[in-house]
Amino acid sequence: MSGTGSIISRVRHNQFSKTFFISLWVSLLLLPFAGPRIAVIFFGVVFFFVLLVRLIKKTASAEPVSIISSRIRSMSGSIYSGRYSGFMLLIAAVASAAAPFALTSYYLDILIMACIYMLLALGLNVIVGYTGLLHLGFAGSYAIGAYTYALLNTHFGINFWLCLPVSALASSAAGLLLAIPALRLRGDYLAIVTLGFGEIIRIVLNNWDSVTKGPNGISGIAAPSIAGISLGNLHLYYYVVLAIILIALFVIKRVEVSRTGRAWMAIREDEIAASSMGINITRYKIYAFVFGSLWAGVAGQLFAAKMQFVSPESFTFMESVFILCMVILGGLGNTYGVLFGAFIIAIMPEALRGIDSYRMLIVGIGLVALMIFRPQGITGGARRCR
Amino acid sequence: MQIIEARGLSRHFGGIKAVEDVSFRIARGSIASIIGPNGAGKTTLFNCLTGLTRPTKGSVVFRDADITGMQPHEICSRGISRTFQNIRLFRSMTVLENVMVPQHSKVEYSSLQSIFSTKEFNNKEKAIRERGYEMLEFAGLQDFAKKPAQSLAYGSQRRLEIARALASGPRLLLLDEPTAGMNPSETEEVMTIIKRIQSLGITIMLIEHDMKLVMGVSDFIVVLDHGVKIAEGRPDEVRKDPLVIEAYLGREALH
Repeated sequence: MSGTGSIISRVRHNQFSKTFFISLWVSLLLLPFAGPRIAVIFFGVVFFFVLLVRLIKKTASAEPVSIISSRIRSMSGSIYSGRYSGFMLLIAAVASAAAPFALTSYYLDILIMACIYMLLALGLNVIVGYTGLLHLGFAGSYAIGAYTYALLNTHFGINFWLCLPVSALASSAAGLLLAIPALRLRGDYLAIVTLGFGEIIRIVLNNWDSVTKGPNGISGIAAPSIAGISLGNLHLYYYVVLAIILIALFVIKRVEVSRTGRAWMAIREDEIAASSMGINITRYKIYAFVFGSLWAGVAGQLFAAKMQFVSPESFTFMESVFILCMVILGGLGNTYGVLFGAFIIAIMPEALRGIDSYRMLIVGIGLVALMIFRPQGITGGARRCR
Repeated sequence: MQIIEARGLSRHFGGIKAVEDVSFRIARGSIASIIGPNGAGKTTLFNCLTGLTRPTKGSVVFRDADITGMQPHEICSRGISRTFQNIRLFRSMTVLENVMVPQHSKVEYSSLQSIFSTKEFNNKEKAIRERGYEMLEFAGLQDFAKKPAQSLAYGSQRRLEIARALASGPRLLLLDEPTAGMNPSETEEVMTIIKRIQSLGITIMLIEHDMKLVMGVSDFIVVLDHGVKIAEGRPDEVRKDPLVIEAYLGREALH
């Protein structure tokens, strides 16, 4: 009896010291940023919180976290199974169509940016989510789309609609150029090359003064117009972006359910098996890069036309990371989940504006928590099963 | 009439001769087994035949064409398909999708057709799906079509791998230890599946350690040891071969 008793007390002691060290670690991390006072407070808060969670875990038979996540999973499952899908779709359609009437132009502006990020996330999802190739330089593709329109429009006066396919193609071509060397690499090495790609694009834009005007950026980019009516007004421009997102969603969905989509996923699951089953993995990896980058080009042009100004600082490495976070948060390979993730992350900086200086900290903690409790993303699973 | 022939096939990894100067011919429509102790080079031999590794020397002739050094997907579309020793399913895809993927090189259409959902696209997708179901029925997995592949039981995963290999429409099927880790009744099931595949006119090459199965189904056996072919022939010939007995049981067993 005494033996069991001492084991229990040792376990309890372990729990306690573990909690202590976790909180200590967190507060030490915080120390250089927030100073000693906040670090001590933070230590107390984290210690208390972790202890509380552990106590709840012990008293309740099931972990609270897993209850929540399983509830979310069953909820998302029922959305996918079609039980609520018609209803949800209707709500989404009405909400997105009515948004400009309900929102002030400040919020509408944020919403348009969120839509542009959704498009980027959809594109990156093809590369990272479907095909499983880690791309850390997606902002480079985005920049190419933006600058293609900026340059063609300001120098040659080519209008928005005519330039849209050109931007998309320019971005795809860059994706092709990136894919050719990147194909020889896997995993971490691929990530580094794609990161380099993003940086190269940004640095070229920053230094090629004669063409891109360097860090000053290019201004005076025209907004789109139809039959002489300018769509530069936020309300109208919102519908342009919305329409393009719907087209993107439709096209990407169609490709996903075709042999191309299956080939991508087979490569993600197991490259060796995929190639033994007759899939030309080189070709389909290139295809994923080209097809994914295409949407980044479109998003870039939408961004340039909205801001009517582009400069290299909009296309930093952080931008690539943010887009990647959207894809991961939403759930790799899950198209609708990715839209959701993009929306959340895009509006988060605005939602957290009140606590400005802690914004990145909260985003970081959120991502760490996500990776611990729900590595497959909010909407769960690589993708729904058909 | 042979379907595949290896001519002096070698595969070296640095100083290690995983496969050294192996030649054989496999008759069309037969079941041939590759046996040998662990590390004899059986899987490396399969990898050479399917293009996953490039042979250091020698060549592979399949249906009168030299396929040495071709890419795995080219070899697959020429009619060689395989399973893997350690199961390599597309784990998070559904069971049905697993048998739809290999039809990739058989049924083709452009992405534009899929975007606009043309009649041709729909017909071809329907054909792919139907053939997929056929394959699942063959392996007795039709009830699990919509389940993710990773949710299947171990024995079913092995059978799904065979169904997936069949879905690419092969003339030659390479099975790498299809009964590894199976109980006797599951092994029995696989044996019947192998027999049924043969009756479809598909040639089979088999890596297997279960001697009862090997002796029961094989028409021809190739024995490898340390990368070298030490014997070949009908099961009853191979069983009596002193070199084979030595490789399996040690030199003492002969005396």
